[in-house]
Amino acid sequence: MPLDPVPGLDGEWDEGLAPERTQLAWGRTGLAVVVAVGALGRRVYTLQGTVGVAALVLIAAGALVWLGGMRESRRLELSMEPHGTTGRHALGLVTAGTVILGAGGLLFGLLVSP
Amino acid sequence: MSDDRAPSGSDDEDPVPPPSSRDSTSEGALHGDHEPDVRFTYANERTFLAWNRTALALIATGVVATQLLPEFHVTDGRKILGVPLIALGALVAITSFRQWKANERAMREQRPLPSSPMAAVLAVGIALVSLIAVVLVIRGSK
Repeated sequence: MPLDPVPGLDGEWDEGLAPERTQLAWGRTGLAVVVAVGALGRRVYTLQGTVGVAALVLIAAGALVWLGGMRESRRLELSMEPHGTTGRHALGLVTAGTVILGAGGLLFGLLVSP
Repeated sequence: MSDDRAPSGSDDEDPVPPPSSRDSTSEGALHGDHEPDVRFTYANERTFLAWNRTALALIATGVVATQLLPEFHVTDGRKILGVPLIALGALVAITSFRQWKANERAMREQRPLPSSPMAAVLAVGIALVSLIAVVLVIRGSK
């Protein structure tokens, strides 16, 4: 069902609490990244040589790329750009960060003995 | 997906043009000449983020399974359990981004939202991993 513009706002859409809910969702997802990085990093200190370096690089890269996506999203929010259209870059970075963390997880899962 | 999720507009009633600050020609815009109601855009983004959390949870659970569970009688039992979870997490992350883009494009072109394979992918994946877990538990741990 289509939503109508709010009367009296001269064509403006009332965003309601949608931006706030979306910010909270970003916060929850950021916490999930912290947990995932914690799970990955928990044993990284036990690794030696190339595998250890590769694991560290993947975890750091995944976290940094993810944070880059979050920062880009925040920048767009503050600059009043059309959020959904430009969000493609931010959400693409977030996806890439998650996939890099997954690659780090696969490295741990396949190569590292507990 | 049913048509009642069509995000905006009806045939005989044009939506009010969006404010100029939401010009769809801005940097990085997806194609389509109709700027959707921003509430739908936010909802689409929150759905993506919820799937991304699910992906991260799958990855973290997979890592924990490979590193922290007791050893099973089955050789490489922990890897057999954890690695599919991690791979499923990566798959969910990629699929959710594609779904977000498809939804965004559909809203801009005033089409019904496309159906999503996400729930089926997740359900089948988790069912398979559960089956593996049941086998491993029945075989017992060391």
